[in-house]
Amino acid sequence: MRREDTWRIVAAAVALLVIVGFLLSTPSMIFARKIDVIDTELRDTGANPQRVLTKYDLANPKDLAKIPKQLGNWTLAKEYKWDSVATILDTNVLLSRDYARADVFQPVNLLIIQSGNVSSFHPAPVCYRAQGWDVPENEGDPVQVEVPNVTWAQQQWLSKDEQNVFSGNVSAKILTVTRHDANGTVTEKRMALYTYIKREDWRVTNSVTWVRVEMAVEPNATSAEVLPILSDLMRETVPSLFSFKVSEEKTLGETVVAKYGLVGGGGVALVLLSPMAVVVPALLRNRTGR
Amino acid sequence: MGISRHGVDAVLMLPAAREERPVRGAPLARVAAFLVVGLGLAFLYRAPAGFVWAAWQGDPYYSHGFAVFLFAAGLATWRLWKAGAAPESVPAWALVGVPVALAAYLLGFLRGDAYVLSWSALLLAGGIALATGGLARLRLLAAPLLLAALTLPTPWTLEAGVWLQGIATRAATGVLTLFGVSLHAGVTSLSAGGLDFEVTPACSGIQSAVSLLAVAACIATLFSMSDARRRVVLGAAIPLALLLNVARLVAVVLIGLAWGQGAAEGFFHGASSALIFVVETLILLALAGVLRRPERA
Repeated sequence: MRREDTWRIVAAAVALLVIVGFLLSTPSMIFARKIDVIDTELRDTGANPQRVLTKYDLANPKDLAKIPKQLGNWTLAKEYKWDSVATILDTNVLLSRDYARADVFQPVNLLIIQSGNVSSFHPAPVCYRAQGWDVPENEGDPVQVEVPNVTWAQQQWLSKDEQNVFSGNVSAKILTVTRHDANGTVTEKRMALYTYIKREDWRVTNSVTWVRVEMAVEPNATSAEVLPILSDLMRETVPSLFSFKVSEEKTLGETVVAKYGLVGGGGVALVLLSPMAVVVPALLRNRTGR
Repeated sequence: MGISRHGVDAVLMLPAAREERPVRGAPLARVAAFLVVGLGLAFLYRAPAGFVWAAWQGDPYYSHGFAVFLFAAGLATWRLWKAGAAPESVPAWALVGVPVALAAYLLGFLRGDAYVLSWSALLLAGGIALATGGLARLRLLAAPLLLAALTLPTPWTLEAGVWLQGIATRAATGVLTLFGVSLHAGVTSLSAGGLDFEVTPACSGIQSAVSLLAVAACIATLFSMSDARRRVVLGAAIPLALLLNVARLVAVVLIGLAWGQGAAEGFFHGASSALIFVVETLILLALAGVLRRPERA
């Protein structure tokens, strides 16, 4: 294979990838370039990622402080100032509050951390392990937190005319962590319900916000007992942070096929095959030695 | 066989070609190919490059990234220049690296995985080297590519860092106990004499270990020695960094106990890591100097 031709083939391969990238992109990925996604996985895309519209700048501590002190039946019990922790974790924003509900014995901690450095951001299981907690092998179970229409969100955050009130299911993970004594007996147990809000540019997460509600529980407590409590606080918190996109966007490839049917499909196939116009002659030229 | 100045050689502006047989339409096609590759890669890797840049700027485990990457790029350029032009033709199988790398990119894109996307760039660099110069060129660029690999974030670095935090804490506790210091150790914390010390990710030793491995790779590349001896220099880097990191932790605690927490957390805490890195580098240079001597028969 002549070197001249290898460069042509490399160029054709790169061009093909650019074309595939475009066809698999949505208009927002190309034009807006900043997409907010709720996801249960930090490193890559989880089972059920959801596109959302954030209501305000999650990287702004002043904005985060606007999260109401009364969230449904939950009342602010304590607010922590953990600037040193934020510095150690290299995060931009850290909000940590305990909320109490009259019929729940323990307060539930709401933690929101935002960081622009994704590679150094500790995912929840790593974070707990680093603090000496035992984390189960599956690193938490995915759950759906149902968030019905909530009226206070409209009062607090939206104008009278806005109808974009949150309603839907939030993908989250419930994680149980424990500490044991020397005999292997569980001495401490905590349960956390968490999700990530990832800001993506071309499928690359360049900032992440971790929303977690957590409470200390009895060693014999089960997640079935605790999940409704944690879900209740999360469903009250979520509408203050973001709303769902009204509809999921289609990729350019899907749009072309949906709009033009068979002709559109043929067009997509033609575009995908176009780099072959460079590759095939180069391969033939080298096979025939001309 | 004619030797031409296409591809990377042309980009690097290497000496003029000799005995080149003109190919009809070749200059235009070559420019077009470079344009497509350059613009295409700029488009495809804009976001992953931003991810890696953010890691170099703010991730304590990758603060060495930019400097090491520059060195790797410089080394690659120097080696290509020194080697002269690549062979005029390569076997067809040499093209295999490019589709593999692009498939890795596509996988990373579909999974929304910035790590796979970033690493596919390294695969692509290797694939292009193989495609344009065969195994000889890939071998030529192996060291710079391995150096560049040390600058790319992996999803396991954090876990390894946390694990090393625990190891460093336990090792420092053991040494301090040998010194007769009475203390209580948590997973990543130490309490002694009424003072609390936190072994943070930056104190895990992984940062200096990775940085020192990069330095060791540079030293092993620059010093003339056998491959076996190069491996000794490379193999010494990580244990050396971890050992001296424990020594630093012990020193910080002892200084804190002697002169108070302010003294431990102040100038010494900041300066000691740089000082120890210099010492580690000098030890590696000394080791390379010893190993560079001719082997006895």
